[in-house]
Amino acid sequence: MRYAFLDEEAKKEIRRSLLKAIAIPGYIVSFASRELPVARGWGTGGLQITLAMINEKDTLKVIDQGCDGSVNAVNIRNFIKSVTDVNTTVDTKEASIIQTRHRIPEIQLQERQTLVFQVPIPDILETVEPNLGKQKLLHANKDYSKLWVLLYEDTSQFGDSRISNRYPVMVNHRYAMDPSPIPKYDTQKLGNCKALQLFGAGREKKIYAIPPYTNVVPLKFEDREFKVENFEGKSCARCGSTDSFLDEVYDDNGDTHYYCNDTDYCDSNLQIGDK
Amino acid sequence: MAYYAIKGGEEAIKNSLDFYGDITSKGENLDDEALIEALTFSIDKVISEGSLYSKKLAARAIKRSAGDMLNASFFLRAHRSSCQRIGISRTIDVNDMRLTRRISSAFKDIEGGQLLGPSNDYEIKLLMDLKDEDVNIEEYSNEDNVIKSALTPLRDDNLIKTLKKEESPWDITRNYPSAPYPRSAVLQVMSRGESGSLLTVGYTTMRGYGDVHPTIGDLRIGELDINFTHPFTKNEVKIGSIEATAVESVGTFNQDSEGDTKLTTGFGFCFGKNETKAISMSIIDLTLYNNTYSVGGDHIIAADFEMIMHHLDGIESFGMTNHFKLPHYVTFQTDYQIFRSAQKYSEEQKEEQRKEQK
Repeated sequence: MRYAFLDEEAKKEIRRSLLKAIAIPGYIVSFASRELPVARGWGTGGLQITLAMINEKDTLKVIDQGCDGSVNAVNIRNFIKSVTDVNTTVDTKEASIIQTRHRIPEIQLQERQTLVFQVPIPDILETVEPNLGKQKLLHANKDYSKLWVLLYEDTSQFGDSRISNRYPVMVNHRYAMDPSPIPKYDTQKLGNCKALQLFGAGREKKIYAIPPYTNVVPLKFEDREFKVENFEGKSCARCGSTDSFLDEVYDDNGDTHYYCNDTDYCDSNLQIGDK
Repeated sequence: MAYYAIKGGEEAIKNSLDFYGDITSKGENLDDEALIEALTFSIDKVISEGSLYSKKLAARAIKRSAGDMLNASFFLRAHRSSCQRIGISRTIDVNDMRLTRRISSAFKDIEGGQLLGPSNDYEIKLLMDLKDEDVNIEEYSNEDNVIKSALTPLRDDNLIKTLKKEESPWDITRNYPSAPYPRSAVLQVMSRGESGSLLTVGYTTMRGYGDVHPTIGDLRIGELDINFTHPFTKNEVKIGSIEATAVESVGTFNQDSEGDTKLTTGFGFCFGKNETKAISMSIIDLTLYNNTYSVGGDHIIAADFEMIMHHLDGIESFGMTNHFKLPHYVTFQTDYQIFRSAQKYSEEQKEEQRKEQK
């Protein structure tokens, strides 16, 4: 089998698409998207980006829902490892490439790092306009009025947007972008990030990017607060952290417990505690 | 209390695959050749949807999937990605097909005659065996049985609407087009689409969501040679042959780009013996390009390029549908928090209204 599974022609095409995506922050670039031995919808977009850019010097981390040990993360990591033999890690600080589904790590990423997002629905306009041709036209005209109307309607009915994750963001003052289904909590980490952020949607055959230090802000009305998930008064039952995104877990007695969603963050808090 | 954690993923997957292996290993002893011969229609469905013409690999994929056909097609697609492209074969013409079956419902008699060939169309679906009656089987060979489409006389008389020819066909496996979609790309999507999906969309046109009233002008199953230009000698060489199904359906008349009134047709083509799929494809093709008389308002799925281009692929729809089994607890947590705050907001609104009414 070839290094990193994909043939060189496919890698070349993906790299070219990535370069275009980085050159136009937030703009959606089409690519051919090869089928992989992993099912469509299970991270094949992120996987193709990772496979197209990875080399022997890289250290790879894969997380799913914040966790390195989650079934799909394990599966993807094992697959990449088997076709590249790169070093893998669970330590966010050590990784050069982090492939993720639905979370951004808690600790701040650094310049030498690349965060690769797995994306189910690449175009944020899908919420208001499912036709791909019309979506393209709306982006070209920077016409996001339908998103604003949606935001207005939600706010008037429910006091806030109904969008709970994959909250629309404006990238570099130009393109409205779908940040993948990360919580609103993570939306704030997208802007001015030191790391390169790449987004891949395999089934929908799209790639887009946020270069380092790019202005990214959530779409919101000037006079409204951007509210993120709130864990006030709660702390991780394992490491005691009060400043991370928490998972709510019911035990066998029906009692609720909270744990850090980012398992590496939780582990490193405990290590610091040990020292 | 034990640290919860879905962190046992590694072991869980291993065990799950082990249990699954117990199921699939039962098929290991089945002979590939026997499977190809005995379950020929299953094999053909898989090579068509997997868009890789290898009956041998299809047999292996069906065994590895314990008969789960979508999964088997997925195996072929994944394998296809790892194959290096050597080049592009010469264009094939379905008129050159060595026929094993060819019918036309548009004419009572046609050049070469109605050739029913192997078909279950007139089989009585009873699971018990009926008394056998002797039949005289005609001697038959497909070698000299090359007959042009039954629509050829109409085409020769310039009665059939033709669409503008593309300079070179699109290749959706190398570059997926944006709207407006070239017809070659649309046909490729359908040719490797999921049979059931094509059937559903095709069927909508027969119930008023579209107004094409198709007649099967020519349905053919047979062998086609694949020719390739030799990279060194530059001679054209035959590198193999494939079994395929092709359908031309005829619709209502319509005006072409010159304003001339012509008969409309749709084309369906796929690997293997897949009549239902090829018929569905030809009807959708007909509907997409001839929807001017269509009833059914804006809901004509079969005439909507966006619907056709993005919803017929079995590998994609199957993957996405199954991805909902992946852990989603982060997104569900965000949904839940938004739900609680919206609930709180509407309760407060209600409370205020109540106060105002007093």
